[in-house]
This record gives sequence, structure tokens and C-alpha cells, in this order.
Amino acid sequence: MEVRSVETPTLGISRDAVARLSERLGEPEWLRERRLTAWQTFEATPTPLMTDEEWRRTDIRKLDFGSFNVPIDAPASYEPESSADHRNGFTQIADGYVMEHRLEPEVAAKGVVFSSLSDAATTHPDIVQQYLGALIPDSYGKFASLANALAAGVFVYVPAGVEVELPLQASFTLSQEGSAVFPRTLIVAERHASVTFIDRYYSVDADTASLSVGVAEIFTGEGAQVRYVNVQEWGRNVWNFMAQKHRVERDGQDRNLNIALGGRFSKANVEAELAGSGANCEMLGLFFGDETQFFDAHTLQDHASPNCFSDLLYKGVLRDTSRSVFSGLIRVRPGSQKTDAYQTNRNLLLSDHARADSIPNLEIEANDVKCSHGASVGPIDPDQLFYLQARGLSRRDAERLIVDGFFEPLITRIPLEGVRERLSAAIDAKMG
Amino acid sequence: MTELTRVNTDREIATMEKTLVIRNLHVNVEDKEILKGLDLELEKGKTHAIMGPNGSGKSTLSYALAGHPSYEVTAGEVLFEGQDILEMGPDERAQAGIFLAFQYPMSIPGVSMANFLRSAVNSVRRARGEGDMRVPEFRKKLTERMAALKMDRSFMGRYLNEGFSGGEKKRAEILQMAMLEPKLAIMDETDSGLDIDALRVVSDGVNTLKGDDMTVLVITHYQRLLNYIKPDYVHVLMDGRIVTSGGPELALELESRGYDWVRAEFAVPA
Ligand SMILES: Nc1ncnc2c1ncn2[C@@H]1O[C@H](COP(=O)(O)OP(=O)(O)O)[C@@H](O)[C@H]1O
Ligand SMILES: [Mg+2]
Repeated sequence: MEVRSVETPTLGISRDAVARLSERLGEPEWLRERRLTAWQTFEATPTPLMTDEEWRRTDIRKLDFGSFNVPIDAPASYEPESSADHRNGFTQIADGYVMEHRLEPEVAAKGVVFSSLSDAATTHPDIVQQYLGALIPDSYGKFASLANALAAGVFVYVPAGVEVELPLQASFTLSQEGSAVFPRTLIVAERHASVTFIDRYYSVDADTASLSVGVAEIFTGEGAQVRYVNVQEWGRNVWNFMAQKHRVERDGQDRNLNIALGGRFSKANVEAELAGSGANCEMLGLFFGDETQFFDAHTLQDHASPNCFSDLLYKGVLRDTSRSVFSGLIRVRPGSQKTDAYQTNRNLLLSDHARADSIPNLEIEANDVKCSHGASVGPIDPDQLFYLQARGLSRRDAERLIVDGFFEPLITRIPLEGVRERLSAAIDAKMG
Repeated sequence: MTELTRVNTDREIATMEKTLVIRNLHVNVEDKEILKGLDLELEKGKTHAIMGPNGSGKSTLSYALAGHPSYEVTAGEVLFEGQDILEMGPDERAQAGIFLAFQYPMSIPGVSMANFLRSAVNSVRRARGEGDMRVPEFRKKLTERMAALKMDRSFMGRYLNEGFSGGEKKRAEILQMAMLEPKLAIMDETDSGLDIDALRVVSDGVNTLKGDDMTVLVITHYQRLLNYIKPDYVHVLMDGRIVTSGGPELALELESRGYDWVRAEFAVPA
């Protein structure tokens, strides 16, 4: 993909950009108003400081909102993503604008909606109004309110009892360096519905810094099954902020996987609310840092009902002088008896200068629960390395095999072969 | 007459190919000297056994030969096919044809046996300037070698040594050896943890591989294994040195008399 520095009209991050964007996307009045309200919150909210607990190890002092441009039209051209994967639907969104979109007609015939959020605001206003921003309101914070003001993205609706057999996928790309993009995903799976969704964020490396502030809200209805995968492969100079929230109703199951490879800086908040009895949530995360990359993963397993199960596993590999912070909270609210909640964070350091901080937290207000958390940070076991080298593998190949093995339980959960293969190639490139 | 025979024998020994020559090898582990001037020569195509009590330095020798970074060679030389290997990394030694069957093989979670074996075989081939082994050829060879070791096909999908029983680990080591076809196979206590049936299978595997080319160094502190893998020479390692060597009968003597007489006869400090 070519990175162009000019062409499409842009504005700075501003109220004007919010209004122009909403107009360009042909959105109804209520959505435009929501955006403008969010903008007000953004402006009124101070930028987080490192004195705030959540940001204590997360340095955004070099982030300058004034340095980015908001594309207010679609790019003149884009590089279509080629893939042989079998999917029921695919959309490619470049700089916030839908460039390509398809949904299998037989899936649409079952009442499944897969469209841009702007279109859905017109075609399905009731559903969108009910769910959009319900999990991540403006009050969530500075970045969330910015996304609520400027985000464009996809809407997925699966009616009760409908099973979408093959995955749906959205690819968000950023085609102009120096620009700001705001990917957004809203998934609503009604009772006993089932769907797999993959978000991919991608851009090439560039000299000028870019910004991505994304939000995803995922609703899993009673007895519904949702799988959600987010693959962050931004180019090297992108600041990535992501707020992702899952709500799982009674007996629903949400399995999510967040993969972070790109960007100069990446902060992802991934939260799950177990809202109905018997809800089940699997939260997996994979990150791989090299050079000076920074990754922050902030997770919440919020048990708001009894008899729920949540299992979190985040694994990171860090090379060179890259750094990561994982902070995870299991919260068991009063009355959420028979909670089963597990949290594990494992980090492998491939250099003496890489660093991983792991901060687990439990906040338990019920007395009949099973909770555990574990964390580890350390280098590759030298005896494992020696064992593989003693079979003829170079040090690099031995490390690669160990890293592959470390990630294996997560990679096997990726439902698309093409995505798995690209990931494997990206990991290989990162191994140097 | 006697004189003449001796000369012939000496010349014969001198010209006989040595796979490995170790001279005055000193090895430290965590700054403690474990090998204290060890000398040993291994003849090409022969099976040598090293016996010695627990803690005498047998595993230290095998790790030092394989190039483990924690085993620091402070003096001496090790020639493999006439070439000094002490400056070579463990991967280069393996590529040159040295194989160590570990006393305690490591498990590598998430890495399947099949994937690992393919990586190992191809790493060695590439180092020799050969291309990767083609997949059908690899499969065929693997199937044959596994059958010979009475290993179930399901092994291939399992993670390397992960959750393997002691016996399974040892079998897996010999399978790796069978796939890599080394010139020198060092087997460190391969018999420990094996029941008699497994011992027979593993020994048959090694005996089949031996042929004319492979030199074998069997390390053990029991004579039992040597009933199955018959040594041409037996060396006794005590207190970091080879204190005496002999033929297969030496192993039987050690079995019946223990090590104390060796200590007394060769003045090894207790
Ligand atoms: N990795 C190690 N760390 C510390 N000490 C070791 C290590 N390996 C061997 N040793 C010490 O070296 C000596 C010889 O051990 P080893 O070579 O394992 O003997 P063997 O294999 O003959 O039983 C022992 O005293 C043992 O404690
Ligand atoms: Mg030993």
C-alpha cells in the first residue's frame, strides 16, 4: 500500500471535523448531535496524567492531538486486502470510509445486518440508538469521548436464533501518514444467536506519527455465542488507543482474542461484564513488542451476576527495548456467588533491556467464589534453548520455535487461516 | 617377536580413525572444577561405554561435549574428526554430527514433535548445504523410524516431551537421533526410567543405527544397558578423570565388585 501525504481533504481534530464528518457520512440528526455532545466531553476532559493510577506506567506526554489530520473524505485509492479466507461477509474501511463491502445474500436473508454504522443509523435507528455508546459512554474517558465524536465503522446485528456460519471481517486501514482514524465496531447478537467477527487494523510503516482511537462494543444476548478477534497491525509510527467492552447476558458465551503487534504505542482496555447468571467469557490476548514499542493492556472481568465463568490469558513477548504493562482486575460484585474467575498474564523477555510489568488485582465482594490470578515475567529458559540448539537449530530459530510454542494456545483460536498465516509471518519478521 | 607385534599394534591404533579425541579436559560448573584433566579417545564406528558412580562428572562431560554454555572449559582440547570444536556453538556441533541424548530432556510447550523434528532435520541439512527435506520423504522416514521404535503415530501431534513419561522421553530422544543420523551419538543414562521391554526397543534402535559409521558413547552407571548395546571399550570415570579403561569384561567386573577397588587401585581421592 502506498502511503500518500496529501490528496484527500482533511481538517485538524476539531468540532468542525466532527460536523463535516457526520454530514459527509449522511448521518441522521440524532447521531450528529451525539457526536457533538461527545466532542464537548472530549474538550472538557483533561488529558490523563501519569499521576492517574491507570496511566502510571503509560507515557503519552509526546502525544499531540493538534498534529493529526482527520480525513473528511474517502481516499482517492486504496489497496484491497487480498485473502483466500472463507467468510460470510467482509468490509474494508479506509480512513473511516467504506471502500468495499459484501455480505452473503443467504446470510442477509436470515435478517443478519452487516453494514456501516452510519448506514445502520438510518436503516436500524432503534437498535443503533439503544446499543451505540451503551457500554462505552462519553464518560468513559478522554479517548472514548473522542472516538464517540469521530468514529466510523461497522455494525453487526444477528437476530435471535440465527447462526452466522462463517466469520465476518472488517479491515480498517490508514492510508495517509499524519492522519487520525477512529475505528468503531458494534456487535449485537440476540438470544441464541451465534457469530464470529474479526477486526483488523492495518497500515504500513511511516515517518510521520498517526493516531488511531478505536471503540468496540459487543453484546452477547441470552444463550448467544460470540467470538471476537481484534488484530492490531498498525505501522510503526501509530499511536493506538482502543476501548473494547463486552456484555454477556444469561448463559451467553463470549470468547475474545486481542492481538497487538503494531504501532509505536498501544493501549487497549478490554472489559467484560458478566451480566446474567451463567454467562461465560474467555479473554485472550497476545502481544509482541520489538524496538521501542510500548503495549498497555488493561482488562476487567466484571462479575455482576452469580454462576458466571471468566477465564483470561494474556501472553506477551518483548524484544529489544520494548515494554509492556498488563493490569487486570477481577471484580466480583456483591451477590455474585459461585463466580469462577481466572486471570493469567505471562511474559517472555527476549532481551535484557525489554521490560514487562504485570499488575493483577482482585476486588471480591461475595464469599462463595473461586478466583485466581497468576503472572510471570522472565527470559527464555536457557536449558530449553540449549536443548533445541543441541539439535542443530540456530539460536534465532530455537527462540522462534519457543515463541511459537508460547503463543500456540492463542494462535489456534484464530478462526481464519489467512489471519493465522499473516500473524505467523509478522512474528517471524519480529524475531529479526 | 613380542616387540614386533607391539609395534604393529601401535601403528594400527595410530592409523585407526578417531572420531573424538579429548585431551586434558578441565570443566568448571559454577566455578567448581568437575572435570579435572580428562583424556579419552573414541574410535570411529565403535561403541564406548563410560561408567562411573553418581556425581563423578558423566553428565558434565556430555554437556561439555554438546556445548552447554554453563559448562566452562578451562583447559584442554576436544577434537571431533580432527577439528577443535570448543569454539563451536551447540548448534554447530549438532550440525557437524554430534548428538547428545539427554539424561533429562527438556519439554517445550506448544511445539509439536513433528514441527520440532522437521526444524531439526532441516537445520542440519541446511548447514551442510543441502536443501530442506521434502515433506513426503520426511514423512516416510519418520514413519519408518517411529515404527522401529514402536512409537504410536499420536506422538507427532504431542508437544515436545510435554507430559511424556520417563520412558517416552527416552524413546523420543532415540527417535531424534534416528532422524538426525549423527556421526557421534552420546547417550547419557538412556537406560534410566526404562522397563526391560522399552530398553530392548531402544537398544535395537541404536544397534540398527550404528552401522559402520556411527560412533557411540554410552554413559551409564549400571551394567544392564551394556547387555543390549554391547560396548567395544569400557572407561571408568571417577573424580573428573578417566581412571582406567578396558574391554566389555570391565563392565561386568564393576557390576560385581563396585567402584571401591577402582578407587583403591587407581588412588582416586574419595
Ligand atoms: N548445572 C549444575 N549446577 C551445579 N552443579 C552441577 C551442575 N551439573 C553438575 N554439577 C555438579 O557436578 C558434579 C558432577 O555431576 P554430574 O556431571 O551430573 O555427574 P553424573 O552425571 O556422573 O552423575 C556433581 O557434584 C554435581 O553436583
Ligand atoms: Mg548424570
